[in-house]
This record gives sequence, structure tokens and C-alpha cells, in this order.
Amino acid sequence: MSTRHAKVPSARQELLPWLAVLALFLTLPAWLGEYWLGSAIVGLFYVMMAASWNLLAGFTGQVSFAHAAFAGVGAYTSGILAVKLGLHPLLGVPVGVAAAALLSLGLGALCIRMGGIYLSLTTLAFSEILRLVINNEYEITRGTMGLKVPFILGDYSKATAFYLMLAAAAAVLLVIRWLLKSDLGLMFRAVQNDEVAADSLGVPVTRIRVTAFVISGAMAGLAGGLYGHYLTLITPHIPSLDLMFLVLAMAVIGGMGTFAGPVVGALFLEVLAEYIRVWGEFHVLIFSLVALGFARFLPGGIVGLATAWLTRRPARSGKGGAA
Amino acid sequence: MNDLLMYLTNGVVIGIIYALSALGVSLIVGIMNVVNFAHGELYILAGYFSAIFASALGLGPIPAMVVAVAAIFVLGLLMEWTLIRPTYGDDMYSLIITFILSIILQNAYLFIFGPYPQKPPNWTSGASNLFGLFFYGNQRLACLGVAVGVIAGFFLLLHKTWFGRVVRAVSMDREVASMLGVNPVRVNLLAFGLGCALAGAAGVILTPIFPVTPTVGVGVSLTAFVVVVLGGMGSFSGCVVGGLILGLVENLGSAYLDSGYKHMFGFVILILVLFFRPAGLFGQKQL
Amino acid sequence: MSELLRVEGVSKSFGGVQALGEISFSLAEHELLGLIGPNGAGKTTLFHLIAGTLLPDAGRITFAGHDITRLKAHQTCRLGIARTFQVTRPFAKLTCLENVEVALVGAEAPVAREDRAERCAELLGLVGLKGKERLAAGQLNLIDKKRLEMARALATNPRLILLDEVLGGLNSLEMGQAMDLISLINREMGTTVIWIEHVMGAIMRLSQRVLVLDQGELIFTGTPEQVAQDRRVIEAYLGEQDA
Repeated sequence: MSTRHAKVPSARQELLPWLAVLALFLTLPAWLGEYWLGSAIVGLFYVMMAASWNLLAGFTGQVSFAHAAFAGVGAYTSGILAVKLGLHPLLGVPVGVAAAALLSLGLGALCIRMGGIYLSLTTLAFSEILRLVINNEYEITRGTMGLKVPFILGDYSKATAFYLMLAAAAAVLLVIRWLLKSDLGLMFRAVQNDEVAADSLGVPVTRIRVTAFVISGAMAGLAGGLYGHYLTLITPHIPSLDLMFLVLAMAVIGGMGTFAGPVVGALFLEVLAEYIRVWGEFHVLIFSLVALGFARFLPGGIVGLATAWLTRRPARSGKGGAA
Repeated sequence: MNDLLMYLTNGVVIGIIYALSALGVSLIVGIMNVVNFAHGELYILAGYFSAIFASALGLGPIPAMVVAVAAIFVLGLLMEWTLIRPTYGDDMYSLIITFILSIILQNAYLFIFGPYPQKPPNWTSGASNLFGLFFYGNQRLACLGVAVGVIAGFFLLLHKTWFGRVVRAVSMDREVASMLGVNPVRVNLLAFGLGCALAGAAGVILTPIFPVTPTVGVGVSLTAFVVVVLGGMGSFSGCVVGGLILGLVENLGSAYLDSGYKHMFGFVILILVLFFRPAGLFGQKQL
Repeated sequence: MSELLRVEGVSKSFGGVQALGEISFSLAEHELLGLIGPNGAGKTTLFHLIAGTLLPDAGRITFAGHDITRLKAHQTCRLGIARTFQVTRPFAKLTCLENVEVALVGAEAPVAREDRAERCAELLGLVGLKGKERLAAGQLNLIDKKRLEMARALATNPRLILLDEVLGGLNSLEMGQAMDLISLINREMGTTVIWIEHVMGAIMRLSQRVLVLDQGELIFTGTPEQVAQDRRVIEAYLGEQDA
């Protein structure tokens, strides 16, 4: 007789560890050196990217390769508006988000109704199209030289950038959390589990998938926009497939289909990258081998491993165990 | 006029090789519903192998090609067995795994083969007078000939062998496989290996003309994907027609238009197909 | 009783194989129609066409006055057509409660959050899954999965429900329970039912009318007694090694 129940932890149990992490992060600029603070900012960028990619892949089963491209759309839109029209980055970034959302709507409407394979192919193609456009429209984008853009807010300060990124990352995670618990989130998971069954129960499968795609794309646009203005130099690296791969690897290694997975994966890999950096170009090869290992043997990722290890402990009084 | 004929012929030559490459993708998609994102990297590897076998092992260009393709076939079998097979039924993971694999291979090539273009020696040289109208390089003609030969061989396989019959049936309707009482594991294994071998074949045929570098894989993969979508998933003749169309459009287009956006033609075609006829020219709309 | 469903000249082919050829029939509201035929006769295909999972190559399907020929499954669901699947399709990683909740969320008039838990529990109790609300659907055994499928379909408040071989793999006690449920759905809840089944005794006992398909053709319509005596029907089944 099967007794495996879906666990339903209380709201407080869920929230506590996150609040602790948030509290810790709020103190970082006070004691973390300049170098590591910069690394933390990059880490937060990847948290947003991995979490939003995971919303799409881990919760609706759609593998998009245009995620970095949408981040690039956010970054370049905001950057170009700042350079050409003098628009303040805090106004430009929302425009970048809107641009990313619109493009993902168009792309999604074009290919999602044909199924997952078409989505993956088309997003890969879109990524390449964007790369071509960026390189060819040198006058506007400055191509591989990079587009110099103003800092996100006021004078250059890592602490400022850090708090802004932290706020954005927290907002993104909160939205994702809220979504997953909502009716929309239920439909996402239904579509991911069995789209034919979901269809037969009144769930508009394609519309749901496109919705997820647009939300995820908009979040990537936000991450890219903020990141670009932190770096003050927007290069084709942001929309590149290399960055796309990193995001994917973070979600896979952290644990796809979980809420904490991408966060863990992003922070873990970012820290790891700092240490492996001495080995130069090897670090991508190492990440990719690790990612392959996880994808093949440990699809639950780090979070999956941790959960399995935690639930194997004997039940303590009142905690865990079968309800 | 001479120029036009040149572009047309280029278009046909490239187009046929695009078709060959696309057949590799189409075979795997049709049988297993898996897209091999490492397709381009296998193409490149075959190119490297043929260059290396020719120079290091002193093999003639033709034997080097054959050995290279055989090596890729074996690699494909290995890939299917270790990586793809455990993901049966989960289409998402096969996409992720082949994508990660393509990144691994790309980076590995950079270390092993270096960043500089490599190519095997030409098989033949000089030029021929075509139809008494213009001169065209013999190497390219030879490439065309070999590619056509391989494609013909593939269609022979498709129509005259047990394996081919299964492929045709399953490509049309996946449920059919179990009804035919075929061993799906063996069919998938062979299909994947053959699909990779076709990528390799395209690679060895084209590298004498276009040398390989570690990063051209994405472009090769995408071209194959566009051809498959254009021709229609599940249709092999669609690959041939689609490949020729793409080859001709690209060569004629870039001849008369700005060459910075040469690779855009394929993407424009992709978007048009998705917009107007997503199932492709010969594709079937399935369940 | 008024006509609820009308199928006119509907046909469907796959590749070169014709699965259904020119099927026509009509169904009155509150009827319990049995659909039988040898394997491969096209019964499930007919369900796919009515429900909207597949589009017919030709013909017309009208439901409650609406032309539903080209509608997709989620659209026909909103109009009042629900179905179960021959091979069950549970949302494996969702709980039984969530499985039913999906149906309530996708509905034309979504049920308010507060009322949902109650309605889900009610439906799960009706099909005999009381106490298993929090189990992950993928962990259920076969009969419970079939029960869940029923609960989900019922949650959409259908006017017409298409049942695809719900009795397969059940023992006689479970079969009796399933038949009681079907009877309840039709007689007390007033839902119209089309029921594909291979268990002859069951379908003959409950159905008011029976349709017989063979190789994509409708070869007979009539009461269970008439069907059992028809020569063509008997011949169609002689080739079958089925119980």
C-alpha cells in the first residue's frame, strides 16, 4: 500500500529559510569586499535568469534557448535608449522589459502551438537572428566593441547596484512563487504533466504555454536591463548562447522543477566560477560536464539530492514523515 | 549570365548537402521525437577526422572520409545508448542533454583541435566546362556527386530494407511501431547512429570546400533544422526539396543583396513557414 | 427528449489508412449509448473527433445547437463535453485533490477558491477515493486512477460524458461499483453518456441503445437485444479473440 504523500509544509516553514537568506544578503555590502560584492551582483543576475528559465522549463516543460537573447533585448533596448535619447536607465529598463515581453509574445504565438520541438528550434534561431542583427547594426549597437551606457542610478557604486539587483531578484522570486501557487500555476503544472488530459479538462494549453513564455521572457528582459546598466558596457555576451548555456546549467544542476533549485544553482555556480577562473577557458567545459552528469543521473539537481537526504532521516517528533 | 549560372550551381551544390545534413536530423526526429542539438558538432567532428586521418594516417581522401563517417556512426550509437535512451518518454530532457553535449563538444574541439580552420586535402582539382556555358570547380562537382550518391543510398535503404520500412511507418505515426512488433530499442539505436552518420557525411563532403572551426556547429545545426521545418517533419523528400530551396535562396539572395545578412535567409524562411504553413511543404499535422 | 449530439458524415484517415468512414448518428439528451466493436474499429478515434482532440477530415458534429466540428478539446469541454481515456492520463505529480481542482479551474464558470476544496472532496468521495486526496496521482493503482479520471471528468460539470473502456482490468466487485457509478451519473445526474466497452454483459445491461462499429463503419444501431441477434455484428466479432 503506497503511503507516499505530497508534502504540504506550513507557510511559515517555507518562508523562514528564505527570510534568513534575505537578511544575510542585506548585510553583504557591509562586510563583503568589492570584488566579491561584484560577484554577488552577477550571482543575483543569474538567479533571476535561472529562476525565470526554470519557470518555463521546469514547470511547463518548454525548453527555450532564447532566454539569454531576451536578456539581451532588455539590455540593448534600455542601453540604446539611454545613449540615443538620454533616457534614464530606471525608465529605460521597463521599456526593455516591455520589448522583451512583446518579442516573446510574437515568438510564442508563432511556434508554441506546434509543440515543444518547434519552440526549441525557433528560440535557437531567434538567438542567432539577434546575434546577427547586433553584429550588423554596428552603428547602433557597437557590436563586439560593446555599447557604453550610463550606470543604473546615480554615481557608480557596487552597493547601489547590489541592492537594486537584490530587490529585483526578490521581486522575481516572489512573482514566481505567487504564480506557482495560483490557479495559473496549477494549470502550468497540469500542462506539463499531461497536456492532452489538461486540454480535455478545459485548460487552453497553447495559451497557457504562451503566457508562461511571455512572463519568463519579460523577467529575462528585466535581468538583462539591470545587468547591462550595472556593467555600464553592453556586449553581445549577454544574449550569447554561452550565457544561455550557463543559465540552463544552473537550473539543471540546482534542480529543475523546484523553486529553490535555480537559486541554489545560480549562486553555487557563480561562486564556483570564481574559483575555477584561474583555469581559464576550462571552466565552461567543466560546468558542461557537470551539467551533463546531473541531467543524466541526477535530474533532481542539488535540491533534489538535499531533499532525498533530508527525508530519509527518521521522523522526529511532529516534524516530517507521512501525514 | 555567367554569374547567374555560377550562383545557381552553387545553390544546387550547397542545397544538396544541406538536404543530406537535414536527413540526419529528420531521421532522428521522425523515429524518436528527439532533436539532436549536437548535430552540427558531429558534422564538424567528421570534418576534423577526415582532415586528420588524411594527414596523420596518410589515408587517401576517400578512405579518410569513410573512416571518419564510420567513427561518427559508432559515436552516435554510443550517444544513444548512454545518454538518450534513459530519457525515453521525456522529450524535454533529450533536448537539454543534446544541447549540453553540443557545448561540451564545442569546447573540447577548441582544446583538441585549436581555433584555426582545418580541412582535408581536395580530392580533385581543376574545373570543368558545364554544358559548354561556364567553368565550374571540379572539387565542388565531386562533392555534389558524392552527396547525391549518399542521398540515393539513403532512399534505397528507406524503400528496400526492413529498417527502412519501419522508419517510414514510424515517421508517419509513432503508435505504429508497437503494433508492428518491432524492437523499439534497436530501431532507435540504429536510427540515431545513422542520423549522426548522415551529419558526418555532410561534414566530410563539405569540409574540402568550407573548412571547419570549433564554432560553426550552431550554424550547421540551425540550417538543418530550418530545412526540416521547411520540408515538413517526418518527410524525407521534404528534406531534399527544402535543402535545395534553401541553398538556392541563400546563394542567389546573397549574390544580389547585402552579404552581412546572408544567413538571415534561412531564418526568414523559417518564420514564413511557421506563419503560413507550420507543417511545412510535405509535413503531416499529427495528433 | 431533445437531440444533444449529431454526428453527420464524419470521416478520418491517418496516412493512407481510413480509421472512420462517413459515420452518422444522433444522440438524445439523457441517453446512455453503448459503443462497441472489435479492436481497431475506430471507437476511440470517434471519441477524439467528438471531444476535439482530433479534427475530422470531413463531416459535421453538432452539440447542443453549436457546430463543434473544428473546436479543440478545451473548447468542447467548456461547452459541456467531458471524457476519460482508455489508458488513464493522471497528472502524476499532482495530488488527487489537485487533479480534480484543475478541472474546476479550467471551467467556464470557475469555482471560487473557498468552495473548491469541498467540491473536490465531494467528487473524490463519490468515485470512491475518499482518504486519498493528498496522494500523488502517479502513485495510485489502476482502479484508483480510473476513479480519478472519472472524478476529473465529472468536475467539469458535463452534459455529455465519453467513457473509454472504464471497466478494463477491474475485478467483478470493482466492475459492479463502476457500473453503479455510471448508472448514477446517467439516471440521477442526468448526464448523457456514450460508453465504449469490451465487457459485453455490462454494456448490454446498462445501455438503452447500442452502436456497433467495425473497421471504421457503423454497421448497426439498436437496442441491446437487437444487437445481440444481428448477423453482421456476430460476424464482426467472430474474428475477435476478446472476452
